[in-house]
Amino acid sequence: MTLAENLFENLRLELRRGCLTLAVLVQLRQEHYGYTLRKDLAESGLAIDESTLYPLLRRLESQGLLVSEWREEEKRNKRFYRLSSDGAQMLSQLLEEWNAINASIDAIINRGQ
Amino acid sequence: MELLDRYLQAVKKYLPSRRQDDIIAELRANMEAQLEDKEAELGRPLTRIEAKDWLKQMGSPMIVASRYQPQQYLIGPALYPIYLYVLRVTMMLAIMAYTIVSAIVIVVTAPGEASIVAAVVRTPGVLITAAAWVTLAFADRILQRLIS
Repeated sequence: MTLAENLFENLRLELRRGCLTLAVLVQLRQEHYGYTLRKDLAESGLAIDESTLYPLLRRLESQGLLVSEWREEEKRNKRFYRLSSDGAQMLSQLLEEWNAINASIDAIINRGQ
Repeated sequence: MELLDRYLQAVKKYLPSRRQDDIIAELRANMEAQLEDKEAELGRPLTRIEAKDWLKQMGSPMIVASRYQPQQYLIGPALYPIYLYVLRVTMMLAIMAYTIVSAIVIVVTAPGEASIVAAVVRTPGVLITAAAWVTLAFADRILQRLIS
């Protein structure tokens, strides 16, 4: 990897980190277990590594934004996650922030042209 | 699948014991579901080589396990510059003190080449000890919490 590619990768990761959290919270308005959540996000164009997504779910749960339960489905025990009421509140705040950031970036880009 | 079992076993080794069973059970369910999907797509079980590639893609067990833990530092980023500064000053003082003391000891007791060589040979040990004490003092977690 060249230096520029490396730098791009770092900046991209930084940029994506918060977006992934937001996407996960939005997606978990419906209940999912890890694998189907990952598949759905990938189908929407947001591919996340297993080793990033699964720990993220646990972190969000420990922060009280998600709730989870073990349940059997298709003869297999799976851990299902969904948004908690605190999480829902947090999500609406974050979405507001997200829209504000997007609007600002757009405004800055357009002013520059 | 035997390869998957071995992979999960390896991940487990690096997880904190309190949470490892729960994490591994979840990871197993997710990975088995993914494997089923893959095999349904192919219409046959994965070959050993394909399975190995798949697990390789997942990442090394140590890295996968480390993602489940908060980032850990021996000396946090906030303290690091101060640590370097104190380390440098301590090393300088240590080498000065050691040189003076050694010189006096050599002059008083046994002047001669052999004792000078012996004193020089001991220098790295003295420096490593000084560095170790500074590092230990900084690694104290309580100190880190007080500052952050």
